[in-house]
Amino acid sequence: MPKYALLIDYEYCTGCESCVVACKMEHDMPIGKWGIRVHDDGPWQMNEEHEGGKSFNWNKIPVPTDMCDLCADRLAEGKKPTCVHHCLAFCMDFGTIAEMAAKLAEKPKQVLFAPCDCDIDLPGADDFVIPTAKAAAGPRPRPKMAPKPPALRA
Amino acid sequence: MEFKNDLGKPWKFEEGDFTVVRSAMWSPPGCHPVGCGVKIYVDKDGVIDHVEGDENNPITKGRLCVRCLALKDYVYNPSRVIYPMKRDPKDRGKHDKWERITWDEAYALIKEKRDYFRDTYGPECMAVFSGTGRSGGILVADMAQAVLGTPNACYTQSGYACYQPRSMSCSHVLGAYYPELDYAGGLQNTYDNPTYRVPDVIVCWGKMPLASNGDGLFGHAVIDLMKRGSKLIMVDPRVNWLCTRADVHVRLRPGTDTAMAMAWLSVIINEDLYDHQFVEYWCYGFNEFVARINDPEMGMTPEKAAEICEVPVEDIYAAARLYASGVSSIAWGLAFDQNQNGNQAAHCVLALMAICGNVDVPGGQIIAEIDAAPGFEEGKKMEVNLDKADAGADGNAAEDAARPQRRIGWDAMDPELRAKTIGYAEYPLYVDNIRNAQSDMMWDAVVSGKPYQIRMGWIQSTNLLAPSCCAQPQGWYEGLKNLEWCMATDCFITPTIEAFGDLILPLASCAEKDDVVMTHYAGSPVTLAACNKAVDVGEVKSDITILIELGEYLGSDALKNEKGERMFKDEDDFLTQRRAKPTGMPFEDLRDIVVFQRGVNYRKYETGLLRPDRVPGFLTPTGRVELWSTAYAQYGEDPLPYYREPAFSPHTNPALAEKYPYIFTTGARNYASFHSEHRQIAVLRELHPDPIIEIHPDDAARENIANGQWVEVSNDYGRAKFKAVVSVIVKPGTVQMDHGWWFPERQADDDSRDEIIPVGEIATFNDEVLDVAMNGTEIRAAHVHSDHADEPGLYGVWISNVNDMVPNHYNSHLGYGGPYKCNCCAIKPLKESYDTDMRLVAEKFDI
Repeated sequence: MPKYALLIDYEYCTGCESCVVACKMEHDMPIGKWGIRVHDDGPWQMNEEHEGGKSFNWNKIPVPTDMCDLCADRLAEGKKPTCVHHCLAFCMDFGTIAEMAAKLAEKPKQVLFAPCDCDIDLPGADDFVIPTAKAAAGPRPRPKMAPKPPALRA
Repeated sequence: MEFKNDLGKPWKFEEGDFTVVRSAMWSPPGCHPVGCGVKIYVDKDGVIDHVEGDENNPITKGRLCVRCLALKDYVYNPSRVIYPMKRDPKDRGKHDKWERITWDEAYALIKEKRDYFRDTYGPECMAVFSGTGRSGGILVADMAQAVLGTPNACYTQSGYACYQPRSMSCSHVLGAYYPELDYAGGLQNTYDNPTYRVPDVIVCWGKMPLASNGDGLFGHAVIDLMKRGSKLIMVDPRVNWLCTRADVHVRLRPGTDTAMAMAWLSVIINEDLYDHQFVEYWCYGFNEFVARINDPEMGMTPEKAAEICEVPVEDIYAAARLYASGVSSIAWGLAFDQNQNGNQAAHCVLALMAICGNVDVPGGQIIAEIDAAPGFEEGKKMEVNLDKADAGADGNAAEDAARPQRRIGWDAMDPELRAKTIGYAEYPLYVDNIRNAQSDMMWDAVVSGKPYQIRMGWIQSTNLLAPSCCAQPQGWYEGLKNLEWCMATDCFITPTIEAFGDLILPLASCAEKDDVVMTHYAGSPVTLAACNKAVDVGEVKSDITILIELGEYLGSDALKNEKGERMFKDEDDFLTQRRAKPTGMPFEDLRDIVVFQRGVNYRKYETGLLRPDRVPGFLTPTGRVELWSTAYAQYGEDPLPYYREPAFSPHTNPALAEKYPYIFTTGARNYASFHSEHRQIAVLRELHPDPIIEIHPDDAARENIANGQWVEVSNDYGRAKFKAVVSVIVKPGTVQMDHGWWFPERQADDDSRDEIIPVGEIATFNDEVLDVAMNGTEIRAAHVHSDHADEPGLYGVWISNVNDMVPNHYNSHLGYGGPYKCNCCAIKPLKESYDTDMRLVAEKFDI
């Protein structure tokens, strides 16, 4: 069962394709194979209000492929997926489905992908609590383990 | 969730089986000096295993573009040159005639040739040609003047139509160097620094910084700022992606930017939206400037501009009012350079920045702080001659003061020899400002042999045939065949080197040398960063090492200090003396911290930090922003702005427009390559495999062109083939084409060569020599007879060569600018496909 998700804010994806190339370099993918690709919806003109600008629809949407394993090897080392790390627009995020779904609710023009059944246990993955109406009524339950920042090596 | 990171790690550390080197990237491969943070993972054999973005970098914070991500494929590319090689001049064009030699042999050969040409014909018969973006590119004047001893350094772009036209206006109109978008790059904690404020409005004018990162501006900072509330105005004929996020998008006709800028000024002045205090205290000639803007003939109104620029007048009012509504910042680009009217467009945009009070304020336009004059004492008044070396140079005070890595050889050169620089008599401002031969006059010299023949060449980090820069590359090709001997420095054999090179010196890439990355070449208070060597490859050397070693070998006095010793002990010493200076630390210390943020003192015009004599004000003769430009007047140009219609527009030349009904523009940037570089990096080529032309659906239907079909475009100067992208992002009647295309996977050998044009003969094309008098300027257009468009060989450099359709000599009065973005052509569909065979690319170039 999928446990983790990529959250992509496509209001800001500029189509730089750093995610595409970072993934290929990380996983040694040859020409003709991809772990993530950027799809264009547009450009096409929505209305005649203006000659350009916001009268045009153009969204670039990175979509993980069947070859995406959410960078399982990097996750095992405690690192973010390489696409998320390198995104020039800082428009990609990674976390548990619950954590990313809560962020999805914060603004429009985002998309959530659960590319694979990666169910590796990651520190902090079970700490996230979805805020509910009941939670507003009383103190939020404390997480069992306070998340610790990773120790810096000398 | 929390993740591991490498924050706080030293510049070099161990991780598992790797040594990780933290570094800041510049070039080669070409890129502008942003200094993006990288972590280079080197294995036990000293080989790069992989590259990641360095989260320690205060601006890029771990982000990285595709070109740095694919660095390994560049460094270890099978077609890379890693040893010096020579070839007999009679075998030029033949890819299998190169033979490996040693560095000692290479230097000896250069000395033999240099001495021969200097002693037989005079040093001026040598010329060094350079390209853009590269760390070595900005050393071209030093290579020519200090190393070889010739005054002729030449960036071959017609009218130096890249950055320098803007720089020139900055120096002379503004009296300060390079007003750039303030993205808090030089401030601790960047956007969160308490001194900083996010711009209310960002304008990208003829610039798409996300892909171009012009001159060190980290383009995606615009996205960071939009997320923090900045509104966006785009001034661009095309609907690029960023335009679809803009609050106002003005889709002006190519080449009409001056009209648009004058119209904004008209709105802002007449609706009283400007900063009265700044105008009163810090501007010169405001009344005259207003009179020109409001002049019924030479001035501009939004209504007049709407007609000229072919945009709705409401867009002009909306843009101007939004710009003037708060703290605004303009990121201005090549549209100001690649235009005969560009000097006026720049004049206007600088005026906008000034009268709206956006100069050197937080979130506005940051400018460089310059050193006090030698001998300056606090509290004592001093006389400074702005024309001379105190401020840095003849007539280019602000730029030279802001970019203290002085051009070594120019001042040391004998004045009589300096006077022989090609184009000096015709364009003295250009030559004095840049210390380069004027490129169009150099084109004349190589084609016609007048005023004298160039006999020895140095192709220095440029692929001028490909090209990104030069106009009429056919002419350059025919002319440079007359070089008797030619050396080159680069990482790959390009069509240019294959065509003319007799010796190639292999350049170190960014992973193989130390360097200092200087945003805006040190002319902006952002960062100075260390490029830290990570690996060794073959026998490559850096440009700086070549400068030092070859300079010494050739006995250059300009590279000796007062004691007669080497001015620079080695590469790191050069970096300490010349590039790391503003950090106040030697290179070794900069290496440790990797990135130095320079800090910003805002409103320097109030505190004297813009002038070497420390008098408040700007570095101009009047001490103020010269809206009425004394420098323009001095050099014979109108001191006030005016609009001039592009030379190849339907209005200027209706007969030409009938033959060639499509306005064409070029130069739009791409993430996958830096101009003509990266064509042999398979993973990058896959992103953008073919040269494209954008055509509106109405035009495609009329010409019977399908999406993805190949077409041929042509005009009186040349022709080229492109793959059609049928799209509404261009207006009907306008097309946009890729530049810098060659095909390294294709045939190298030039086995079909036309007759060589004898020196001194100006040939015709289509039996027509176009000599036109236009606005009082005589346009000479010497064409070259041979049409190379279908010639095999030279890696297909003539197949999709858009600059072949761009002529030389369409410059401004001051010698700047060229018609790269506002020209005209005809289009016809082709039956054949020229689609790139990606399997062939992968086969030849995968590592």
